[in-house]
Amino acid sequence: MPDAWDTSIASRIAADERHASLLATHLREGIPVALPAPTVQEIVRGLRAPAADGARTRLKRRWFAGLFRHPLTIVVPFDRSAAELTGHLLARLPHPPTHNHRRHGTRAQQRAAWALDVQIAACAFAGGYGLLTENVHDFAVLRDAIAELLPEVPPLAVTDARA
Amino acid sequence: MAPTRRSARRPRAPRRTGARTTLRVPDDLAETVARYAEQHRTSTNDALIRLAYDGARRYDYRHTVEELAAGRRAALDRLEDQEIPPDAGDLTGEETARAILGFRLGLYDEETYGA
Repeated sequence: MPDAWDTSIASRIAADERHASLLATHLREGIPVALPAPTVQEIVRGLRAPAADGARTRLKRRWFAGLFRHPLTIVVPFDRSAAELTGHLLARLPHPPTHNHRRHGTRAQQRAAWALDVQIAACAFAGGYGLLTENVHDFAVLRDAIAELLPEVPPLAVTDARA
Repeated sequence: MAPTRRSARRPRAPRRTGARTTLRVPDDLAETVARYAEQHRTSTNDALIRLAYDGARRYDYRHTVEELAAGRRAALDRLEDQEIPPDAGDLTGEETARAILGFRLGLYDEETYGA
């Protein structure tokens, strides 16, 4: 099953970053690069944020814009199915799982990030993908919730990029 | 020493196993195949096979993703097909709006409702 990349992966694929070789392999071998639409949103938002450093940020934005338009890139849409699934999941799991560890950001930021993670999982699932992530604990919770909701279809495969 | 005739030739294409076949290659495709063979210094037969492998890999990827997506989407669609008891009442318009907008309007306990 091909994997879509969540934001923890897609944010670290530029040159010298720890997943740069992953992108290089895909480009060299002609394997599509599947990015969920909310991940594209997070990347652009992060690189447009007022706190970001002007010209250098623009260069990186341009690099990502090129990637988003690359013939091998597939932006996995947040479409009807993904939206419906997101609704079901957020109703079941309104809060991010705790796993007994401290999360970054304010509670509101944590919830916004969780809502994005739910959308990312829903995009990947409805789009026919698995998910490659560094945030395997949170997405495993979503994988299990989807499997409980839709037990008759293949579950969302969650792959730990750090393994 | 002058180069031998053999070294001036293109490298030999890899020997492959499988059924032999004869096929008619359309002119426009043949041009692309010839260009690929020239660029990669291989035979036109090998170029044709490599391009076919490339297309097959793309097809397999698309087919795998689409088949899985179709099954999962159908399962999602069936979620709302569950039987509703005949005596079940419907929400009023106001109740519906409050249910949907509850979070935005601050009608629910944030700790319970979440984001």
